[in-house]
Amino acid sequence: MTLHQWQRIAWTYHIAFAAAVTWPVQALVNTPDPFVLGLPRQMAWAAFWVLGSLFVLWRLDAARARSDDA
Amino acid sequence: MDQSTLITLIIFAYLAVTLGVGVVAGRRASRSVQGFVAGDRDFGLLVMYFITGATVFSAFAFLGGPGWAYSRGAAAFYILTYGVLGMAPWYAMGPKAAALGRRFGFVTQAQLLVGRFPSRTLSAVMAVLTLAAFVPYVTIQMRGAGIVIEAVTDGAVPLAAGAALAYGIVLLYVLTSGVSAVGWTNTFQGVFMVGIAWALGIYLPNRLYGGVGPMFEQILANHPELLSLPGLDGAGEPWSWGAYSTAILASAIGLTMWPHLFMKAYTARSDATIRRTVILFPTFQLFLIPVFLIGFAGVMFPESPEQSDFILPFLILRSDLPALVVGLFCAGALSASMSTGDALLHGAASVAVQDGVQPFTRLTDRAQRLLMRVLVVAVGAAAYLFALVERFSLVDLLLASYGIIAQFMPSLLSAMYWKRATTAGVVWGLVAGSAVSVFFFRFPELKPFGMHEGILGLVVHIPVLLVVSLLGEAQDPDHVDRYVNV
Repeated sequence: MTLHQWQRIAWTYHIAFAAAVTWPVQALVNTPDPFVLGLPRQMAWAAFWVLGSLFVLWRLDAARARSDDA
Repeated sequence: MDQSTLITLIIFAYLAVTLGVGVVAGRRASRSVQGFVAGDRDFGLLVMYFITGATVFSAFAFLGGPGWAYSRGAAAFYILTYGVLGMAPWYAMGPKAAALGRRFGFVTQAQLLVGRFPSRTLSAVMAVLTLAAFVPYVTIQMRGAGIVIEAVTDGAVPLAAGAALAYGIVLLYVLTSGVSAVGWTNTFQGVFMVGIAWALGIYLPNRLYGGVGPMFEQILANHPELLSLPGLDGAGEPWSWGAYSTAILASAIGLTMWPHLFMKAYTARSDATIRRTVILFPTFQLFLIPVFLIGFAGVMFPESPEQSDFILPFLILRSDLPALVVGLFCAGALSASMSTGDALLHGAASVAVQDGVQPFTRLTDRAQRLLMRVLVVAVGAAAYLFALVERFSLVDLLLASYGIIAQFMPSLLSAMYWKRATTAGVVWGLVAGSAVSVFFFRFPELKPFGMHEGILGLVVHIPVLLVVSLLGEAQDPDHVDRYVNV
């Protein structure tokens, strides 16, 4: 994928992240069980989005590096 | 050697190493304003990673985070989410701010804003608002240091003396070495606090409940209200979704705009360094998970501390841990406090001189550095006085600061990205948004849906900025291009 596509993915991902951890979406993910790795589901949900950010920004940076080399 | 003596020795050893690192760090930096404030724009990835992480995660995270998990349950999860949301925009904004800094010689946030929107009033307003937000934030850090030292010495060293000791060290290395000291001490302190948090976060639930899962099962069976969002408010009543959601948004925006973090864009060696710092930031953010586990470990504990912010040292001292571990924990908590406090003191003095004084009276480079050092001491003294007054919890103080800082967002985005913005629009938007934010902080019962005052301020701020700008005369296109098309 191109740098431009990864830029759009990164923006979309972080807007979705903000929506996922606030009302009303977070209200749909609001029971502690089933636990995930021993953690309440809402806490694991937040951690999942945090880790996803790492992946998306890493891929965006890789696309930027390819674009700069080209 | 008895336990308290060993703990005290570890604390002193930690403080001595921190002071040594801070003083030595300044030897490489030039003796100029750029060296004192921006580290000669030469920080690499390692220092940028830790200066960002350790500056963001403070006594508020290390003590306030467990305090919230313990007393307000799932409400604490908002702290886990907003950091990455606040840092991600820096992937795009950071390199642009750094490029403008290199082009025009900026070392503070307000210099960028006033460069695009020339106004000495705007510069002074930014300086006043920054100081108004920084003092409570430094206060949090000092109280955090004092709380830890008072708790582990069982009251032998009171909060006032503990805070004075820790921040006496901070003053010494900031005065000596400026931002270079902040960078390298934060690297040392960041390693410490993250290591201690993970070790304790895994150890305490295992020791007290047999594991993380069993701990949450017990909490769910006995206190299910703590594991349901949006958690509880400070009085133990259910928190509102409006307050929870807007706390995330206001804190994320505030984090993006904190002047002491914004200024670090000017310290980076390259744009790639800034981008990689942002990419790696979530790895630092996850250290809040063990911090929360420590707080939740206190829920089913048979005894309770006087204040929820004390839950972490309270548990440590009642878990029959070896003195070495207690001492290291104390050093980790002091790291969290001091690594943020030093950046704030340095940032406050830099902003006050560069944005509050320099636009009105031209000072020599030497006079600026001298005045910054005087103000580091003055801001530290003011925060110390506030730290002795126990009126607010650590997190409440921080949330109030974020409300003010969030008002910088529309102005700075306009400076870098909106060609049609005008000086009048930015000034009036900032004044209106800040006034609304302060009003709702003062009268919280009037907030609609319990929304954060910073978000309510932005609801007024953005339309004022748009309308006043569009009604006024556009800026010179050549001037605008130098800022927007970088």
